[in-house]
Amino acid sequence: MSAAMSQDAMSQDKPLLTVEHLTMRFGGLVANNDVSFVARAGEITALIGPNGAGKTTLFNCVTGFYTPTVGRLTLRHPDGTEHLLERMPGYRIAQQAGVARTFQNIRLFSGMSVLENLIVAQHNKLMRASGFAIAGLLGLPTYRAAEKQALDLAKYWLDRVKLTEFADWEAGNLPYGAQRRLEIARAMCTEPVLLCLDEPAAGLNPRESADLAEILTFIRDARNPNGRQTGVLLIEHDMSVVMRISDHVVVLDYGRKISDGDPNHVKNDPAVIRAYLGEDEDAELPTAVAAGSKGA
Amino acid sequence: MTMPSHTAGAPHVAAKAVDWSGSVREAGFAAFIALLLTVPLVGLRTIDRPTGLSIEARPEEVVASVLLVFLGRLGLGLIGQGLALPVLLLALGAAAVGLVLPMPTQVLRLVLVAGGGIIALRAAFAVATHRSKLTLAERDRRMDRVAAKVQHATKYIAPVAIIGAALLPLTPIADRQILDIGILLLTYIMLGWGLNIVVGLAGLLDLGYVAFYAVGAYSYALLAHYFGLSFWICLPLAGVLAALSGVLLGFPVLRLRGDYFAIVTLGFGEIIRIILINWYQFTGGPNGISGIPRPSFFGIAEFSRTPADGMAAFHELFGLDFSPLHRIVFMYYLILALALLVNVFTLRIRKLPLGRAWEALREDEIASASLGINRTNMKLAAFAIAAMFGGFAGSFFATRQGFISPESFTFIESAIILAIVVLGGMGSQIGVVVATLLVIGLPEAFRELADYRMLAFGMGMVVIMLWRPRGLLAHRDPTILLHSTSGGGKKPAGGTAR
Repeated sequence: MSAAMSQDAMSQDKPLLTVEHLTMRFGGLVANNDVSFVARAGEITALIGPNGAGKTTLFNCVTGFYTPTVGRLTLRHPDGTEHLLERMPGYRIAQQAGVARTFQNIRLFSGMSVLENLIVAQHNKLMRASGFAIAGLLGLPTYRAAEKQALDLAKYWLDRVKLTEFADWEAGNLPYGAQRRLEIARAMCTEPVLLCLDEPAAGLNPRESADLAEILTFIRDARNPNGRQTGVLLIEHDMSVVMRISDHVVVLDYGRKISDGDPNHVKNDPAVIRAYLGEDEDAELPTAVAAGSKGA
Repeated sequence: MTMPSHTAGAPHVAAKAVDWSGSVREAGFAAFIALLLTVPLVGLRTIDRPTGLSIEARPEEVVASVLLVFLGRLGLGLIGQGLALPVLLLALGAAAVGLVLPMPTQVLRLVLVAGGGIIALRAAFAVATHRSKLTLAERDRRMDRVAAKVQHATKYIAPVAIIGAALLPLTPIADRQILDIGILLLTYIMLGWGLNIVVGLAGLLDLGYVAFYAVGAYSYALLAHYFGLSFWICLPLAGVLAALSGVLLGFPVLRLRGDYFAIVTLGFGEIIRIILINWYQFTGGPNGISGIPRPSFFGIAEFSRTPADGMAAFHELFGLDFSPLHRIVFMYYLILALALLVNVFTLRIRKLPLGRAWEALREDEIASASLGINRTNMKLAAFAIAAMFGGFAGSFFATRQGFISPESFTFIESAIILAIVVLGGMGSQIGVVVATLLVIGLPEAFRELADYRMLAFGMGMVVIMLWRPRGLLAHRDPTILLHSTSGGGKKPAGGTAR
């Protein structure tokens, strides 16, 4: 049923990211087995599943940290150009395809200031403007204008994630929740078409989670300063966040996709319930999952 | 000053009685370790006699060093137990005795004065702050504040220092020896600043920087030797060739990380030296190349009394009396200009995307890649640029010495340059200057202590490792500020890195 539904939607508007028959093997271990799904622009697609289901592996394939064993990853920009992610070296996926990501264990440039983190994220744009450092060394006005623009974009996102007053702090000295937000802002400063978030709510308290949900829905709904819209792909364990903000949920278990659809559909899917709570129980389970998902 | 000691310091200190036996036991243990170490290292000395090699025992030195370790450790232990004031007086006394009374050896005097001085400082600090112990983090924070202050003060120190350096040859104290030391210091400052790009900014531990120095030196020497090219043509060529060798090395090597990278650069440094030794027909092998031409005055005039035909003599051109010092002064200004070039470059590049990408790579490579930074190209650029500056310094070295051989480009040179960068605080420009004065300047000043200089060098390194592992002046100012104190915030009013 869900497959039919997503097929319909796919024919209506072309998806942003199409994952087809993705398989990733590490020696004998099959981390992802024939996974196919789509993620659309203007939507939050959540990727959930028990520990070891292969979520982060799939993420690493999409963001170029791994090359998949089999399968095709197509990213379609709003202007119609297509990028085959599985064929691109890692840094080009961010540079040309416009895929940005955050990490499960935060990876900021902790010795640099918050603002510098956001400026570094605009490296490729600025590098071109600085004529590969030559025009910049000479102090030509083109570079200064570009830097001003970069600063404006950084200010915009600083404002969005409420870190403006900390702009000149060393990033490593920020509190944990602020570091999470900064990492998202840094990814957004690359002006991506697809933002991949690896467990952004991990370790956050309920208030910070709510803030995060607000930021993510903002990213989904608003147009960026450059006029593009960003689709969000999200790995998350915090079911309250997933069920509240995602438009589309993909469930993995043991490397396979077991369910795909809107949050309500997934919540009631017996396959998902089996994966999370085990076999051999039936009658009262759907309510148990609903309750468990709220508490988790 | 003594008031708060009753409230804050005193209960903490006076609560327990002084543990004499414990302190003596600890000091005895330290002295025992010192004995184990000094018997073979200090106590025995080989002497070359006509009859062959023989061993001479030096018991007095062993006894003296063991005694000093015992007293020093006891002093530190007692400071920790609140007896800072008496220890301070005793240590000052020991230093004074070492300074005034005649000593059997120069070394004993040095150890007595230095050891007494250090312990006195430590005790004075304890007396002043009523604290017997600082935690490592506290000490680091204090040093960090000092470093930050120095960093901010460089806005004023730097112009003064540059003007002072520029005026030095005009002062009456500028004799041949002073200028030579000045040139030596500036050469190492330039090399330190060059290596700082790779190690301090890009975070790549390069143990073979001297290879690029050698490539630069030999480029000039060989081009001048075989093609008779002048220094002013060869200087940029040497830079280009060194940069090319940097790229050549970088391509295969930059995919390695951390220790592996360091080892390969170490190997590269040795390979260059061994090629220079063994390619006898071309490089002159271990005999080196002599008679390397001296630089002219920008191709206009020469510094010799009777220049070759077609060239004017510098002293005649400017209506001066001939002095061999003119060339030295010119060399001094040349290396000063080259060093400042490297510094200005580094200060500017830090505020450009290239420099920021280097620092980002140093902080986190994976995150840099996820932002679309091409790691290989960025690192190659850092490597090539640092190599180019090394090449400039090398060709300057060749023309100053007039003679080069592979002897000048051994691993110890790489190690010293790296020590300068690490000691000064990675990425800190002023740190390189301070560290060069310490590492190169002090040994030059204490030349008469001969081999004991290296002992002091090692001791200094150990002290830095214990007290300030991130380097003396390691403090990083952001390259761009949002809330700049001068208002506005539009112009990148970043901190100065010098």
